[in-house]
Amino acid sequence: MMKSRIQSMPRARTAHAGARFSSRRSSVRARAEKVVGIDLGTTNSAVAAMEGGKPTIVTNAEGQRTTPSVVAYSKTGDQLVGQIAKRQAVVNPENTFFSVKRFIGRRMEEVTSECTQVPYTVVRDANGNVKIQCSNIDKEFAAEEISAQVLRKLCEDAGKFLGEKVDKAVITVPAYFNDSQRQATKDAGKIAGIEVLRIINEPTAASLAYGFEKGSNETILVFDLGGGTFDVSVLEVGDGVFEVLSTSGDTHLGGDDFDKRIVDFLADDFKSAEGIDLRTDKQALQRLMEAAEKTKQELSSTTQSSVSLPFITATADGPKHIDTTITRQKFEELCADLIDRCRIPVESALSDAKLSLNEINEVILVGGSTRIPAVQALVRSLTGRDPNVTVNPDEVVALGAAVQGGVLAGEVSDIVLLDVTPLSLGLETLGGVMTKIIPRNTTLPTSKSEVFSTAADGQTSVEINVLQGEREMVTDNKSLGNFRLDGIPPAPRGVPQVEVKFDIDANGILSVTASDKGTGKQTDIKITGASTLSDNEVESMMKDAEANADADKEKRDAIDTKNSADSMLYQTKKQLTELGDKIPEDVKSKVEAKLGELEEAINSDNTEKMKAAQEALQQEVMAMGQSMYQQPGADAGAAGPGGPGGPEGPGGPGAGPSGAADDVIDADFSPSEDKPKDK
Amino acid sequence: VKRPSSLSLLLWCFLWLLFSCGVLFAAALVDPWAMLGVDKDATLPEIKRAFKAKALQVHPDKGGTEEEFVNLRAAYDTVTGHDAETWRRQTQAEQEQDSTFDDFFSYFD
Repeated sequence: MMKSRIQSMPRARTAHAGARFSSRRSSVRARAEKVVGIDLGTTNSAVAAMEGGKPTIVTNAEGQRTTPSVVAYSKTGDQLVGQIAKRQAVVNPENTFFSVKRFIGRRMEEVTSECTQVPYTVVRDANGNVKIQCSNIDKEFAAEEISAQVLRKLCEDAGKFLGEKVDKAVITVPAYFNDSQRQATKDAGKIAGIEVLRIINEPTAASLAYGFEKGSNETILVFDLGGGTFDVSVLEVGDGVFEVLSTSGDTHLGGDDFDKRIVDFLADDFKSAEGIDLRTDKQALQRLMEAAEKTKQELSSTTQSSVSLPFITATADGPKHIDTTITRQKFEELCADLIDRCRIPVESALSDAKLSLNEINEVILVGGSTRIPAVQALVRSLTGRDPNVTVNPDEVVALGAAVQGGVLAGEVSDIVLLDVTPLSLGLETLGGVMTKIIPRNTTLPTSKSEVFSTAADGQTSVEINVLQGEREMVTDNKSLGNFRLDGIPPAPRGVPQVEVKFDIDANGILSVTASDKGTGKQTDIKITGASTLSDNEVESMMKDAEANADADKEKRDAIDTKNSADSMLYQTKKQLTELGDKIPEDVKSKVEAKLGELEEAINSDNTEKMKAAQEALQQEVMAMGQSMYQQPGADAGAAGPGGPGGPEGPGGPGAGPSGAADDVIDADFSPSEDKPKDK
Repeated sequence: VKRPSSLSLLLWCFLWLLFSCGVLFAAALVDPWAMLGVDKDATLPEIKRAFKAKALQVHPDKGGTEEEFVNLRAAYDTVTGHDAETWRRQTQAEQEQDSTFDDFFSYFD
């Protein structure tokens, strides 16, 4: 730890420059290094990539432009991710994990209210960090691991869509995320086997997508109300520079909270009518939550929505149902205080940017919750103008992340993003107060230092407690790490001079150095200890995830093989009966023998055997096709499809007989020979 | 022609000391306006434009180093922000010192 900074800095820089050079070179060489932008949302996630110089949304394997950030484990221990996991949530509420972003990088004491809102079990581990219990496979997951599974699916699907392996990404986080939440998101990427080139702020990403093709200079306000977090950023966009002037937010406010209000309303109503609290029944709670989300969404376009939940529970008197109507007015009344809470960050972002409302040129709405009419009305009343609705609130963040990915890969040349640190950074000083070194909204990268002294006579060491937050007292802020500078010569208090230097690089990684000006002695730390997981844990989770992915691949391979074996069996049998006596007896018996082998392999459920038997059968089927050619009097129709179809397996010969029967010349090669005749 | 008295000789020595200190000080501090490549009477939009153009070159994402960017940002903050007042006072003091010298040399004439 006594390493001199003067030595370590240039080395780090050379390594950095080297990495950039190589990535740029390879992107020119084969365009192999695709950097995707990922919006890892509380409820939904999206992926985008630069295609032909423009950011484009990448659809997932199901063909959707967004993927629910949901992971589930079925009774048989199968892992489900995305839409398929969300769909089975009602029947498997304890093993379906959603809104995990609310727990990522958090300590248990920070999320006591969130814990009660989810039907799955959230526990505290030995270090006070949040763990999520999965009863179906009897395992405790870190929030990072669940997010990693979502990230893995997103990247695999993106890889399929783009036709190349995707293992580099820019991931977005709410601007108001603290250092440990950012680090945890980065760890999630690492566990998923993705190199996270940069963590960027969601509203900043939105501004990148918005201003990407705009030439004009504008001051914009991004109002980002997502599933679980709320961010406001004020930016100056123009001349290729996207400069964040200020940012503010609330990490405990989002669409989920609006849903919760509807759930509570319905549950309270039901309780007063029937005397049963539905919130204690996990399955009923899950159904209520889904109904609440749907109702909320409907109320954005209609003025009332009916909630119908038959058989929500049962008593001795029989089944009970919920059948009611919620009006938009009722919804707004239920959420009035939540909507009002959006006011404060807007005001503080504007005052931090030292701007008045009339200096804002555009207000951009981001996040699904900005579709709520009451939220839009609030924005209108706060800013005195109609918000810009040209961007898709669900996709714009991922698109912006893709633009930043393009900048880092060297694909986009004339843009630079100047982001800020959302929260002040400082250290603990006498009396348990926080002394700020880097104030919030300082442009990154940055470097600031200040000189401190000892608090007691003869003190020979100082403890440096690095803090993040806006509050005066240490206990109200987040501690990012601790280190100690020893070996200060004994002196009266206030005499020794200890210089503390804070550095934040472009990646947002903070390093802190303390040096004794008297002796020149110094120590430093890179704040990675803010992560809730240790390096070892991340490493082992990474291996775990890889092993699981391999197991999944094997499982998938087995299913695919069985399916194709089944269909080959069926096709070949069908052919044999259709062609009947046209096949020479010796060929037929060979095919039948191989068919028997394949059938046996399928019944024994042996993937390797199935593959081998399939191959063997393929050979015989090809021989069968060949024998058809060699028969005297075989017509052109039979020969035609048999030829090109042969290598394709059972499909080819299958097409043969039909071609012969219809006597239609529609095979691939026919036009060149027959078209002149037709004309 | 008057001959300088011993008192003015002392003053001369003192001012020379101040002058050399001033030169050293000015050399150590890079002029933030020069760093941004703008005139001292540049308007805010001009300063902003200059900063943005330079940021596109020296930001670490654009191939620059962190140090370069931190210095550029400090210069920008000095020219536009609250630091500007300090800087102006400093330069004013320098100018005053220069003018004292002029007076002093004219005194010699």
